[in-house]
Amino acid sequence: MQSLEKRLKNELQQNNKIKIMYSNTWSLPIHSIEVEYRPVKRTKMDILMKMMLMAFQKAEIAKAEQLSEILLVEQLFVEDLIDIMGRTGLITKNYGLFSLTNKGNHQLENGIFEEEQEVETQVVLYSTTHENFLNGNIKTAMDGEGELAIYRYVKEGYLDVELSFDKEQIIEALQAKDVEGEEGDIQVVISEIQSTTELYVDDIPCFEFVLHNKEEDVFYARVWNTLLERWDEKLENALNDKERLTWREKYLSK
Amino acid sequence: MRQVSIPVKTMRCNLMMTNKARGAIQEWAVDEHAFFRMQESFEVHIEKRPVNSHGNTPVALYFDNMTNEVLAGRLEGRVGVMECILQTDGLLATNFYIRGTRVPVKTNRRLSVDLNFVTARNNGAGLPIQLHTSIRELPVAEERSEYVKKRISSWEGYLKIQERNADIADITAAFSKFVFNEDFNRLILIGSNVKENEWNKLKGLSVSIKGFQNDIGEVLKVDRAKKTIEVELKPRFQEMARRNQWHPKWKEAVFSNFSTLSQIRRLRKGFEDLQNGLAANANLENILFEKRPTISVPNKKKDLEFHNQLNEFQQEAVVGAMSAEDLYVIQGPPGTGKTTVISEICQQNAKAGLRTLVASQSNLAVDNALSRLLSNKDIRILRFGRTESIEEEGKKFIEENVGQYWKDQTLNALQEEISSHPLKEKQLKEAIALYKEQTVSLGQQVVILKEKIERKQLAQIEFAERMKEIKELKKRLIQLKKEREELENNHGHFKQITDDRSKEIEQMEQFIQANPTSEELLNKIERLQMEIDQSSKQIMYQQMLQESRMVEGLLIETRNAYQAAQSKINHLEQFSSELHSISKIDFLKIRMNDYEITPSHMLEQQITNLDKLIETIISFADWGELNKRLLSAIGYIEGLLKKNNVSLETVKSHVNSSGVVFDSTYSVKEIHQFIDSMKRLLTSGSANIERLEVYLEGLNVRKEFVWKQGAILQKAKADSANMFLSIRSVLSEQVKQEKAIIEQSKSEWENKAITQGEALQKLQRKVAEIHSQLDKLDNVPSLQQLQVQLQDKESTLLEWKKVKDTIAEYTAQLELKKDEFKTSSERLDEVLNELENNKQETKQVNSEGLEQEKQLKALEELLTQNPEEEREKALTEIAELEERITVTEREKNRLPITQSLQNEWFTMLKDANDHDLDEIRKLYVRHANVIGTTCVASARKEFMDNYPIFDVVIIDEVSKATPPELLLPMLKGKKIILVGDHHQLPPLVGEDTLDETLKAILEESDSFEEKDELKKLLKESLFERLFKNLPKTNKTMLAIQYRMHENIMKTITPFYEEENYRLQCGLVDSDAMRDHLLESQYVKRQDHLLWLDMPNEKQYFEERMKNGKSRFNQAELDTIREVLIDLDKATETAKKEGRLAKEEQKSIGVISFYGEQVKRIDRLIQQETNFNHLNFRTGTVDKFQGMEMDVIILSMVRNNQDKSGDIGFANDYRRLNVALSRARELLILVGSANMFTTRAKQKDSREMYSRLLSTVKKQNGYRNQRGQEKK
Repeated sequence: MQSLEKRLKNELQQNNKIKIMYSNTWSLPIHSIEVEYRPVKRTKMDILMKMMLMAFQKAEIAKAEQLSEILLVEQLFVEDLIDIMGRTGLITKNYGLFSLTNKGNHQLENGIFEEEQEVETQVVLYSTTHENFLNGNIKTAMDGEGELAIYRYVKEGYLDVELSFDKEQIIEALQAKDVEGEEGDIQVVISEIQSTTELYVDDIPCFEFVLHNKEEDVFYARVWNTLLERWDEKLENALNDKERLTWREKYLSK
Repeated sequence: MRQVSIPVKTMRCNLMMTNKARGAIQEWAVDEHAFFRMQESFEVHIEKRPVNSHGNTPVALYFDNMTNEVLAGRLEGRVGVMECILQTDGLLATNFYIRGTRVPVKTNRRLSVDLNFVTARNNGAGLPIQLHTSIRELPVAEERSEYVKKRISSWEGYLKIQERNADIADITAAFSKFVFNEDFNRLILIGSNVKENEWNKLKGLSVSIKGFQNDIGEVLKVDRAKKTIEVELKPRFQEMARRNQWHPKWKEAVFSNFSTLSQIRRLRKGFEDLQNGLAANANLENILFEKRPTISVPNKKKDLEFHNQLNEFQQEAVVGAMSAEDLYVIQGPPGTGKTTVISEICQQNAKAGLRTLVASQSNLAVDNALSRLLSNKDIRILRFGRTESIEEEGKKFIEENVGQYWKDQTLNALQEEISSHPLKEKQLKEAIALYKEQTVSLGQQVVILKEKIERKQLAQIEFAERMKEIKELKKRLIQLKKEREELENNHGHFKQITDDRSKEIEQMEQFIQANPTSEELLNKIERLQMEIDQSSKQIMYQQMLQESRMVEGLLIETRNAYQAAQSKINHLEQFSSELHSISKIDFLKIRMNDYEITPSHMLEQQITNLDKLIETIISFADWGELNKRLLSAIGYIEGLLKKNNVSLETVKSHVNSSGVVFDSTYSVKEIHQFIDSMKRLLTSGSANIERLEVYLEGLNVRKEFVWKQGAILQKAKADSANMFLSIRSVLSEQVKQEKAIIEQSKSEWENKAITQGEALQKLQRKVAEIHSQLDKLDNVPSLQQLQVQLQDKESTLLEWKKVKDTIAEYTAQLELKKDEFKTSSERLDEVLNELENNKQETKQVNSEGLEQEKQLKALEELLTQNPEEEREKALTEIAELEERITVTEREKNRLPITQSLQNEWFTMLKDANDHDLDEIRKLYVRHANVIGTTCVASARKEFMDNYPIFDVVIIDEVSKATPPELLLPMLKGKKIILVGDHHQLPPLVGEDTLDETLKAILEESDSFEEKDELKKLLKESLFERLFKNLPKTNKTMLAIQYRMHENIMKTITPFYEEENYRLQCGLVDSDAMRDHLLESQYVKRQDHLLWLDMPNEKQYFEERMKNGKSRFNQAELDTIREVLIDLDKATETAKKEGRLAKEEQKSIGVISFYGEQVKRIDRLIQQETNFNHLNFRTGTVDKFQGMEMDVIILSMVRNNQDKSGDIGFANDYRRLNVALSRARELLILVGSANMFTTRAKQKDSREMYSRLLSTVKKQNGYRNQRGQEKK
């Protein structure tokens, strides 16, 4: 831990106009959430074309306009696709109505092919401070990590509050972990989130530095987030907002 | 200059070949026949060349490499060009060659036609007249290009500015360290070893670091003294820095001007394209370069339905833009809703199926415009550009995101539709019920209408009958009228006759009574006749008497004449008998005078000549005397000489040899003098021999001359004698002739006397005869009196005879006339009776007719109703309703399917990922109809390839772009719409405006030519020129602003005073709508415009940066801090008192004319204060153009007592305009009023700021720096 801190300090002091006025290390609580989700395998097929094939199969459609009104899709798009489907022999017109050819029926069957997969689980990491999932790996604890104080602006009662998430947010987090994929014409996508379970809370260390640029007389914070392995602007901004005025008093009035 | 429209019709054209052309063609086909049989016809683009030295018009035919598929295949997509000469019977090909695939074929200078080339000999195809005419009208391409080239060269200056530092090679430099700033958006390279002369070239260059693939950003600032280079990092590299992954192996940076150069290249390409006629609108070159561009003025304004709420000016702008054909210009002052107008135009275009390009100089403006477009299925927006430079608002429209955008949009619409599903069936049922109800009521109406129709039919029959009757009555009336007219005529006629007769009778009777009876008259006439005879005789007698007296007189005259002739003859005979004896002319003359003989003209001449001769002879009298004297003198001298024994012979020979001239003439006097002188000599005694000899000589010479004169005299005498004889004989002849003539006339006179004597006797006898017939001869009046009496009597006689005849006639007629009078009086009475009858009947018929017409009118009213049409309409409506019922029924029946499809579609779409949307994304891009990009990016190659032409190009913030930048999007538009405001700031070059940069270059420049060019650029703003010169139909100013509180707006209205419209405030209630809700030490609720005056004293003065031109003002910073703290508190209070929502923040913009001051404001806000209720945006005034905030604080910085009174950037009214027009609710100026209104050097500036101050004062907004009111 000290070597990392030293390295970071070193980097910050590259600029000789900058003085580290204060440094600290503390920990940020990270919730590990187990997500149960069900992926499906399905053919890659343009959805509008698929939908149109289905519509031609189920409903009596005579004009592009009609379909455009049902699907609320631009008539131009519908016309273009009707044209393509006509040329590739997927649809034909009988008694003024569109209908699927054998080839079209076959294509649609393939298109709506969906194979539900076994339920899978993944663990994703959530920070109440960030109010978002963070993509990173919990590393083995560094020496002295256990003694770190908790981040001073962490959300109150974060250990007791039951967390709830947007489905979109979770899928995004899962996607970030590359759980979706594709093979040839087939793609695997997450169709539904079955459940989320909070497993445990890790405290991951963060290194805080308060810097002063003498030349410009500017104070600012730098926080290295060891989970993300980057300078965390979210945390930096929070500290800047909350403490900047006090730094000036504290460190310059001396 | 309009692009020549192509008639699709193919034309046959004779094509002849030179051997050269044939040879070239044979590389591609067996011969020309085979070549041109390759396709039925060819689409070619004909370019006209200048007339050559033979007077021929050469043309070049570019074969289209897209539409001519077979040929294009053969040429592998390259362009075939055939050089031809235009001939009356066709085209003569002179050469054929191939050019690259990318050579443009279709340009504004070329004529596009589809030609069928006929190559057979004597084919008779000729050159179609239409083609010939079109080619004749075609401009010569080179000339047009030259014109454009010449005009566009005036824009070179803009490129020069950009090129100023661009022509440098890449600079490579090592550095020792690098550091990032607090936000990781800037990198500072430290300890760089850039060469001395290269430091000032670095700014603006793009930077790449050895070991990284792409350039990392752009040089923002350099500090030569500290050897630091500040680089603005691209987002990708900012992220890297945050991750601490920034560990370049080599500490070496390369600075390059690649991006500037490529930008200039694109701008130059724009110039070339315009030159080569590649603009989508062929009129563009005129619009850009003609002083008063001729543009097609729309003849009709379009009638539009608007999608946005628009004020009158905005409506005018949209209608104008939609109606214009070439160009429309919109002047939009701050806050007047330019973006709304642009959005509406895009929507209208989309509805009309047109594709629009929205371009602007900055990415921000493009994104701003796009984001304001209504979310609408008809509009498919695409944002083109480098993703990293596109703002958040525009990101959803970039190609990779439009699938998602479309998905969101469609899902929203579906969601709404699906949520209405439960209601849908009910709605449809209700609709059907309503339709049915309407059908029933319409059916009832139809029944009523049917009855009406029957009634109408009956009425029609009656109407016809009545019409017929009326017609009859009318006919009768006409007949009566005719009869009456005739009767009236007759009446007049007979009345006339009766009156005439009675008048005549009266006249006749009067006449008869007034005159004597016929017998009396006869007597009178007889008496008168006798008197007349008597008078006639008397007259004759008088006349005869007169005549005989006259003849007597004549006879006497004749006898006298006879006697005169006789005496003349006697004279002549006497003269001729005397003539022989006359020998002297003088005597002859006396005789001629005595006998009154006048010599003939010739004779007179001879006499004159003789007189002259005689005179001559007389003059010789002296010469005789002289001769004698001379001879005696000679004798004397000879005597003397002989005495002295001088031989006379010697003297004579002397005379001959001494050369004395013998021809000399002498006057008599001279010779006498000569002799006198000799005498004097002799008497003087001084004579000697020699002198005597000389005198003798002289004497002899003179003697010779005298003798010569003597000879002449002798001859004259002989001549005169002859002449006299001749005269005498001529005279005698003349006398003889004269005598003969006189004798002739004598005998004539004799004859005459005899005749006259006889006539006289005859007359005298007659006189005696008449005399005997006359009774008395006393008192006979004179001849004249007699003649007058005779005339009187004869006329009296005639009159009496006439009266006698008339009386006879009248007596005969009188009875007849009396009969006639009686008959016509009777007839007259009859006619009067008939007339009375006629009048009675007419009256009756008339009243009958009126009655009939009254009834007809009633019928007519009934007939004008149109129950048939109404019924027809009702029936159609019923049919329509039934159709609608069917459709709705069908819809209702389909509802389950439709709804299930919609649900399914919703689910499917919701789960769709990027793969699923890929095709839709492609469809979207293909059908995108509003495309946004920056001016310069619109010339990027991939964009050019995908979107070569737009129906409409809208360019926003035109005044902020340079003409070369504007040209790029303009080239692509068939129609161009420019939106801007020339009262705001012009283009920025770095941190300075274009004007300032130009001025700087001007100062540096040595070349006059360049100076001249640059000055021109300074003067002309393309937008301003167009806006001023275009006709009213093609421009408008948006004059209603919605941003500012009316009080704030008042500060900028002076800038727009010259325009046609006054800038107005569109806010219905400024105080309510722009209430800042704050109440504090500095600001009261009703304040919207404040000027905090900084004293013009040393402690408040500006300061200048040591190593730069930028300035700052600490005192103003201090005041701003106080104001901000005050505002933060006021906002908090407003929240506490419930005027503002808890989570709301006041948006505050702090701006300044100076970058350094802005930097210090930033630091102040970030480092020294912490405001919980305010959010900030700071920037220079220039950077703030286009933005708006609730509250604006303007730090004016300049404050000094320098003599120069320079206020620098603040002089530009456009900058002040921008600064003043950013605030919605509250504008606070912080600066020295004294400095700007009285110390400023330029008069215009002083006036401008004084006007501003007076506006502030009027609103009680003038305060000291602590916010206390000032007067």
